Amino acid sequence: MSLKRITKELNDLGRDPPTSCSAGPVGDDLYHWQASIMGPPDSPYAGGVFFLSIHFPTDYPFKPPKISFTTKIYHPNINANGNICLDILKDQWSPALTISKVLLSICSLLTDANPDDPLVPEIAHIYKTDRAKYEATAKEWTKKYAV
Amino acid sequence: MSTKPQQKRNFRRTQGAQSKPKKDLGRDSEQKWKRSFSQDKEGADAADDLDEEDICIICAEKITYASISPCNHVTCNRCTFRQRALYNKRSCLVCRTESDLVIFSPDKNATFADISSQNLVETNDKYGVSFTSKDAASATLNLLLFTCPFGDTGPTDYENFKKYNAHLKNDHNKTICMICASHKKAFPSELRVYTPNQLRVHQSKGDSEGFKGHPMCGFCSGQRFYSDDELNIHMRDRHERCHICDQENSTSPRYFKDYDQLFEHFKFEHYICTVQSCLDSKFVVFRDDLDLQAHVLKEHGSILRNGNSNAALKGRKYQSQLSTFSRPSSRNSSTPDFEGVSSKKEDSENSQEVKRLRMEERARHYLNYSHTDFEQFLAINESYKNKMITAQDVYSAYENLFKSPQANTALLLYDFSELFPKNTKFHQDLRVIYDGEQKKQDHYTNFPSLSNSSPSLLAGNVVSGTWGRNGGTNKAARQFNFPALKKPSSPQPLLVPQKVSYSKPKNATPKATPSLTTRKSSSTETFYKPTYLDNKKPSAAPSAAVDREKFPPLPKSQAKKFRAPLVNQPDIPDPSQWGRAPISSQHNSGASDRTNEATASTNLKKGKQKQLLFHIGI
Repeated sequence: MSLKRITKELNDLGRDPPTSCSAGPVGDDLYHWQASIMGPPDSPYAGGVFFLSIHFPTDYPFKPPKISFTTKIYHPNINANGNICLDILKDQWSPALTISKVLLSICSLLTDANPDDPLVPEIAHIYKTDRAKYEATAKEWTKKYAV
Repeated sequence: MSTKPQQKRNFRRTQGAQSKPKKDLGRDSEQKWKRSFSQDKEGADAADDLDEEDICIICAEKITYASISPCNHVTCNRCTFRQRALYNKRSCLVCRTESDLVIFSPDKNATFADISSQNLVETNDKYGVSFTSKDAASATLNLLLFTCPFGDTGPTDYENFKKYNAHLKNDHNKTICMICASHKKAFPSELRVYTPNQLRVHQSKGDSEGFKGHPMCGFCSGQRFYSDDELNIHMRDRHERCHICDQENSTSPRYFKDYDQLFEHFKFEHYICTVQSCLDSKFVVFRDDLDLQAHVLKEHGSILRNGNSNAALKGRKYQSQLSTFSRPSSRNSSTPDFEGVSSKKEDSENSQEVKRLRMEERARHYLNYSHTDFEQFLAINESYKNKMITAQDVYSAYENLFKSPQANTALLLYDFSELFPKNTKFHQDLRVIYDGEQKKQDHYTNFPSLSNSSPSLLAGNVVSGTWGRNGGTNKAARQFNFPALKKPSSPQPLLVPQKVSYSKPKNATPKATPSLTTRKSSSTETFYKPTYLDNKKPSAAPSAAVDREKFPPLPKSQAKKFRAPLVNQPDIPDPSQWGRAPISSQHNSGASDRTNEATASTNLKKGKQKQLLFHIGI
């Protein structure tokens, strides 16, 4: 049942690509995609192109896809392994959500981090106490890993 | 007798729907990914020629019977019934609103208010579903029936997976996968029926796209789990994971069967605190012996209060633990030759393929996913590669092509230059223009370093890079510069001297008054230091140095040893030798400066010193 839905999402993405992100299968396996997100212009990630890997569970869309960054990124809600702390990827997942919507959510997470529910407490601390330092480091990482 | 043809037909019915289109679509969609920017018609064709209206937004199948929720969200009956009957959730699949009742109707354009006032032919309270027609009711509720897929005229419902599987086994020599049965949240008719061999393939390797088999626990013989999620839960609950290895590389966790095995691993690969209370509380283990030292100082500090090397150690402890870059540092400390590894890693991370992808992705984005413009972009690059145009031409062509205000052509130029090896003219020409542009652009003044150095050089400047390097050298430096600190670091000088002192005072006792020397040696070594240490150093130091090289994890035994002084130490100095203590503390304060006496009035001390001097004189 998941295959048809994944195929439909892929077609929709091709027909109407969302601004600033794209996604598609890596190889022949439709359950493994690669996605890319442009760093939002109003964020320290501006100018970077971030790649993500998407794995669909066989129970998709009843279970959320597993999405993680493959490009290193300095962000309070994204850890060194690229895991993303985002509610809609966990308990707030809805089967009506699509990859396109999730990628847009991740985009907005890049613009507005959520330091109150951090995955990397150290970065969240800096984010809260010394925003300039956070932005400088995020820019530096973007420059180093995503440009 | 006629089972064979029937089987075949049935297989085709159950599998065909999934397996056949998947290949065609797979090829289609892959090409589409490569050209996803273009608005090709193919996409529309592949999507089943159905109106969006007719398709369930959840499973993308055609809706025959619609499920309509009080929030007026429409899905197919199968999806909503799966949610309510198999997942036991009453939330709307679209908006997550909880609802006690949803209505299944053939009319997918109806609103909930419309049809809830109509005659509902059947209501099922268990799942909170009502039906406007008999057909809708049977089509939905029959999904739960365990009917024989081979059309046997036995009971129409085998009630549960166990009986159903037993029937398949006994009468057809087939089986379903019981792991899927209990976890897949699939209706009985959706489960594939296997021969024993097919089942083995299904469980070990997987038999459909996106499914790699049911993973097996390496410790519990042959036990398989539905997916990695379930396996991880099992591993978490039943087995032990090394959290130290996690810190170094959390992408590939190391599991051990139970705590005993994990403890063995701790002992050989990490640094355990061997103080009994820590052994009892378990998991008190550290990445390197510096952390262990820090822990010992913090938790078992009373043992070392009179030690003479604490201050130096403490300083470093804070440095190592207050870092924001704990991950890189940990990796560094585990592999001293990290720099080589890291550069390799980066190369693979930013391989040519990724660079090319990144440039194309950026270009598409700037071009608003316009196909023709992108082709033009590729054409420009191609002609540069063929030396038909110069780097300056490339830049002006880019400027003409990328008109969108957000487009940063210089970045594209940079990306493009990265595709060529660093020492080629292609790369350098582009880089010259990029550097020039870079200087002009105000909003990129934040990265001036980039214009002067290549990314690999830049890497050294990034915080993590320098930290990593420090971490790497630190460890090496630590071993060479402060080897003496580790061993003597309080524990051994306290204990070992005591042991040694028993043998030596015997020689020494005849020289001095017995009562005085024994007290001194046992309580404060500082006074005794000159003669005592001179004797000891030549004999002890070389052996210690050898030990250090051959048996780095030795600190463990130290920790065990300095358990003893904890008990003895506080008792000894105070009662009898109050007059001598200040002297030792003052001597110590030169090194450690931690005793209370140091802050007390100097007059008092002077007086005491004099007193003491007299004593000694006597």
